[in-house]
Amino acid sequence: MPTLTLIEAVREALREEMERDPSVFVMGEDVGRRGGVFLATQGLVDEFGEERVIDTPLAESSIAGIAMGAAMAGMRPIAEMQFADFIWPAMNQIVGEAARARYGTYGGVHVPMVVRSPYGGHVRGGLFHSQSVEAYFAHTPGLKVVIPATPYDAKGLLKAAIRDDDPVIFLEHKRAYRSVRGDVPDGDYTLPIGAAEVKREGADATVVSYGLTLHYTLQAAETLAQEGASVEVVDLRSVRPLDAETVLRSVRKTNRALIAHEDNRTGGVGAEVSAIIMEGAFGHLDAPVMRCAGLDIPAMPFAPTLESAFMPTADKIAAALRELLAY
Amino acid sequence: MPIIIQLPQVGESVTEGVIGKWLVGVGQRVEKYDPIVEVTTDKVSMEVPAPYAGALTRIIAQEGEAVPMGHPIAEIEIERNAALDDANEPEPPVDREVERRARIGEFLVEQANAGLKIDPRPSPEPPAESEPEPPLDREAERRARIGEFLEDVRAVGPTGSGEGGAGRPDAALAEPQAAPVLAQPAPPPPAPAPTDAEADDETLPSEGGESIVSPLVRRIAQEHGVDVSEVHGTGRDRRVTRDDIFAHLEARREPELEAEHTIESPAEQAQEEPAEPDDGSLKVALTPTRRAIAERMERAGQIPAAWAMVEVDATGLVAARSAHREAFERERGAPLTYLAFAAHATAQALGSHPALNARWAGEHVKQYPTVNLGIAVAANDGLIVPVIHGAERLSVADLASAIHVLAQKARAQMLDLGDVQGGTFTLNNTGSFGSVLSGPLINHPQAAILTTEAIVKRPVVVAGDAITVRPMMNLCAAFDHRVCDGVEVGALLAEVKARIEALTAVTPIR
Repeated sequence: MPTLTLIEAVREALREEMERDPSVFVMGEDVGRRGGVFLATQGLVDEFGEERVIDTPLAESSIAGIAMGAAMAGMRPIAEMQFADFIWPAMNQIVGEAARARYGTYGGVHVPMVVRSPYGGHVRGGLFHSQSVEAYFAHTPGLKVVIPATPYDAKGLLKAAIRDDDPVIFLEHKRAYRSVRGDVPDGDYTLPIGAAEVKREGADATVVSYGLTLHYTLQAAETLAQEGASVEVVDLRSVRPLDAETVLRSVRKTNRALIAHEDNRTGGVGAEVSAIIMEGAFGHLDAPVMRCAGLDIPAMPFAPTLESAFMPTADKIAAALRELLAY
Repeated sequence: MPIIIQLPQVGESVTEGVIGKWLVGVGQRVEKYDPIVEVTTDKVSMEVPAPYAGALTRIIAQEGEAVPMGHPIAEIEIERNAALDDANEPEPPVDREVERRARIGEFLVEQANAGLKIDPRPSPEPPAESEPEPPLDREAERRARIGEFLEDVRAVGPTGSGEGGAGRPDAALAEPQAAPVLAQPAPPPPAPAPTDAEADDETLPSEGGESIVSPLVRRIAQEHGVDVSEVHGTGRDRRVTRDDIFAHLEARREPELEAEHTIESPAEQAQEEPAEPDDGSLKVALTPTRRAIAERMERAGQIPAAWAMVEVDATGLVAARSAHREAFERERGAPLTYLAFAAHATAQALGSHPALNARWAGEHVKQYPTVNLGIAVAANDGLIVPVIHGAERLSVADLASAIHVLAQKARAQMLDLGDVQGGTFTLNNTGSFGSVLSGPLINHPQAAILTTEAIVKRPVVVAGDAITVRPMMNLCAAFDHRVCDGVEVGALLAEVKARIEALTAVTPIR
């Protein structure tokens, strides 16, 4: 089985889906000749031509709007937002329109579009290239929000997102793009959206995470294993729909839960997971549910020391786990 | 002074680069910022500049080698004036400069410069620390809040005259809104961890008198009849953890019990049920209460229980209740129920039949000194059994009040832990839904349960073989046959029956 980086897995999924289905096309800023700023779409324009790999003006609202219109007309657009930080002008198209079209037409009009976007920091991206945006979209019924942590998941979930009949926000952590490698089978496979996966089995505590933070969490779990604690790690993979059953099954087993994510703590996915655990596993809790998240400050700082202070690093997750286990 | 040159960070998301052509050979001199080597990544190609003026002394990464960002690629002997400059630095300049170089990539430099040029304005919302609000305004704001706050609770007293004094309510009110996020007061420092000496002192009370019992430990303790205060805690503030209570159960468990009440391991609890074919049936999700009931009833089903019933002539009961009802309800605002009389008779009878106020404890039978009477209540989301502690000391009137309060709390989901803990015997008024005969399940780990069935008029044979119509009520009991035999249950039922049948319109209820 070939070993790919996360961004190579994304590229492979895009290529295979474009080969498979002529209604699939890619659009966004610099996705064509330049191959995208991260090179996720590198080479696609040579293979599929400018009609299916479309360079757009710098106008995210129109990227989302055109994609939505094409989707309504039967195409399967994959719109790239160059950085998740730039997605806000498209908010009305995505949240106000695309998410509601199917509901508002009583199932008459579907919007089978994918909005792909690199998110997250710890890459010296500063205030405008480091944001985590999932909580805003996870709040919105009508959207699916997928955040793969591994190349295998990225390929299978991106294919599932492209074939999904409703809008999917597909967030790819830019630090994970080239720092995460993994086995990816050749050829076609999809993974169900909305199914979490236990990435590491354990008995003493559960950490629920996703995206890049999942890897810091796995590092922390390894550290704790050397200290004699057995930590289970659940990868949500999609934060909407959120796989409550897998989370609850794990917490009922381990009786302690920590949620780790890079997005701000307040109103983040961790708050929702925490509430789900309270509602579904209260009688199984041996300690309060805890969170290890990005700081509640307006943006990712630029200075490397401050950036590290912002991030839920492996050390911080390990420290939070020690606190949880000592309770 | 040789210095290591590291491969600098280039751009976001790039983690390694492939060394291309070395532009400078070993021994060759370079100026600061002169390109020394070509590096390609899958994103950019670039030339790495010399971080210092000096002579290249060693090439560490060869052409074609893939090198992670920040790893050494070469060594340079820096010149004396640079070294002298460096010597004036308070810390080794080498690391700082190299580190800085290593972290500034092409893209990021561009971003930083662009940011400076385009938007030199200060942040529109400077942190609150830089501009502290005039103290007077804050005081006024505080006062405005106090006024508002006190208006709502005027009955307590004006500012300064209440129990809490002037300082308390405003502090509590103002604090959450006083400052934006950045200026929030630092949380209080965590309580210092106890020293070893303190931790070893068994008499040291934990913070707040008693430590927290987690929902899991509470549930396990209830299911297994464990008094949590008897368990050695190893958690924070000597809290009893899951593992502590499992260890406790393990220690006290004996083979016979083990066969019947195997403690489920967490993994077993988490097992999934096999998928069922879709036959159109509705899958009703379990509420936490339903789940708890199910688990308790499973345990009840494992008890070797036997069952008995007696008929009670309720003529005197009906008369006694009618006689006191109006005055009682006017006075206490609670209904005077038949159940209260039955509870009184049961609690009194249990006082003289302690064999049933007990539980099976594996190696022995534990008999309780007081009657903590559980009363089954149909709450909104299922059956719950709040407990009246020391029921044998209470009058009919007091029991009626207590039952009313607990039932209301149960329906409002306001029961405290103390309200549901420590039951020694359960009473269930199954007559409330019209049943005249039931086979109750024992409330594990108690020894027995008693039901009061509906009072219905029936023809009965009375003294002199006459047939007459009497209000009749059945009492049904289920009991743990390990704890005692039918003769003890018969005696208990006989006494409860006698006590109820002895009631008259003039029996006092206080």
